[in-house]
Amino acid sequence: MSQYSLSPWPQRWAILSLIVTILLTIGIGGVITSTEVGMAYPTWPDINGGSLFDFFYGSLAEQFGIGSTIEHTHRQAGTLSGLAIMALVAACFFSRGTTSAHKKMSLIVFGLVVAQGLLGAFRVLANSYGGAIIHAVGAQLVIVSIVIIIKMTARNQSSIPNNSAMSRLQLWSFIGIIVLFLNLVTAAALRHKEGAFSGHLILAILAAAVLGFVVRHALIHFRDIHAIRQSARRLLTLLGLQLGLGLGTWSYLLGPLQGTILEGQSRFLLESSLATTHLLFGVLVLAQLTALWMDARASNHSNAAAKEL
Amino acid sequence: MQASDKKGILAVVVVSILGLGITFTAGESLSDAVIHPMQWLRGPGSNLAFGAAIDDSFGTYDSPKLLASSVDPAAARRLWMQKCSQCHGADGQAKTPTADLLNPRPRDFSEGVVKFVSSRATTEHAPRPSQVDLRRVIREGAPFTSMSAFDELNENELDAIVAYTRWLLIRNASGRAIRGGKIAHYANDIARLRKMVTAQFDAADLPVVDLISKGRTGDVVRGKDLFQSTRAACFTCHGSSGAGDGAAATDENGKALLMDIWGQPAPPRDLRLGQFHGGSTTRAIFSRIQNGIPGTPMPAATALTDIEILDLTAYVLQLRGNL
Repeated sequence: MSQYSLSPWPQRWAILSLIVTILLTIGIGGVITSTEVGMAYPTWPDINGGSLFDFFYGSLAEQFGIGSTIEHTHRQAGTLSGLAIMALVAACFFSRGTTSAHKKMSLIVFGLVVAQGLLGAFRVLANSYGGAIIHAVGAQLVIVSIVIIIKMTARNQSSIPNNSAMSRLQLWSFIGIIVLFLNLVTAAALRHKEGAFSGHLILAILAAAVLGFVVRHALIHFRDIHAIRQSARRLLTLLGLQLGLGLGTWSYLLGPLQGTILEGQSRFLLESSLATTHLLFGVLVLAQLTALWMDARASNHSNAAAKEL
Repeated sequence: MQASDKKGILAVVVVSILGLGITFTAGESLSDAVIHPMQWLRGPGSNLAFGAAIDDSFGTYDSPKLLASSVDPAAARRLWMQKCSQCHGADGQAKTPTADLLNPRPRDFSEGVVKFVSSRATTEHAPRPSQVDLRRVIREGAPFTSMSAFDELNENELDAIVAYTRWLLIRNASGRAIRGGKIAHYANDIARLRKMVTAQFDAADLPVVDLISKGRTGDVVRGKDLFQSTRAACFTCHGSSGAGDGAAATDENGKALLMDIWGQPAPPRDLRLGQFHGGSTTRAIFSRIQNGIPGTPMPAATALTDIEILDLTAYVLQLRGNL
């Protein structure tokens, strides 16, 4: 089936889900961890008996501190992610041209986001560090799954050769996803004071090496294929920014610049901003690498389809 | 798959295991007790879960999880209720009708702080009392206060009350650190905090080899010079004659300026009276000067050497009766 017969709506909803999930849900979640306000309001999902959306921010902050507002906004953003993903599921089930693979994948994304919400509840109600780490790691799975469905529902997939170089790109981009995921586990552990920095550093260096290899391989062997070249360049840009942010965050939080710039609340805000931005770029790197992996996988599918014809 | 890919995958697996292993076994690189400079972000709601978490970790007042395994918690609590609670309260907060009638007020243990300690002050926390310090105050009382000497207690009973008081102080010092926003709000933190605060109290139990143990005595003349010097600055509160009328002690109308952390007036002692609540021995005075009196404006003499403190001690003891 031609991808052009596929409705644009599944991909539109998937992209919206990705934007909401990264910028709002994970972004605010990162702020919560950076500012240590995860337990600012220890019940879930209600605030003082009210429903999720039934309160005024001003009175909430006045009663329970601004931290409770940040925490609750994260819950609301999570709800928004869930609603967008529900729309994505509906689009995959009822739009023109979708296949059973689209439907299954949309259900996987939906299942993951529901599980994430329940993990968030567990993390609060059990007041658990371990729960917080699993919740943080689960968010990365949601992102990977959304990127996969974005690529699956793309309408204009380019024809990509399937050769040994492409198989290698597919293999190493997948390995890169695994390594990045493990590194995000160490980052979550570090941020929740359950892990040592040196472990995160080792996996960050490993991830940078694997991703560097993937980018180099993609740019050498597939410079003429627009989709791959573009994905690789974006990945390289994000990786460079992420390494710079990592260096800056380490320098200021743990390294030589520790305590040298700003004091008190300003310093705390800078630390929180650096750590949160570093987290967000980590998620973007993972999303972009997943996109590259899906582009490489598309070669197998497109060639298989060509053989069938 | 190429041979180089297989080698690469092997390397990735090995380094990943190494990184994960180090992450979860090498201990923490972030501080256990990070001071949260924006406590207002959290608000009071976050405290709801902590009462339960504190009780879970430390036990309740009625059913304490004592640190000394040799002491029966129920017996310790019973003794506390019999001997201590009338003044210090069932919860150690000294909110009792009797306490309202006493001056100075009985010690409120809710801050996890007591006044008479022999351990060194640190930049991290108030000096913690050793078990010997607690034992001495319970056995000998606090002179010139309503804290009488419980010399009728046998050794087992004394051990039990010391264990309960120490548990109460560690529990409350940990809770105070949480309420003060000095630690992140997780149940795990409470376990860590308990470990950290307990270690501070354990450190106070380490034997101290000091000059007094070696039979050294102070020099009154040198002590007097130090007392009047800006380096020791004793005169700023205690006055040049030691009468407790220093410039920092009262305003121009003679109103007392100094308060303790329990909200009570803390006027500098009139050293000429010789009425020292923490005891009048050379060792007691030495400890007051060396470690200060936690919870009050009396600071630890961190800038002075032990010999200088011994000289000051000799001078302070010599002031007694110079009315």
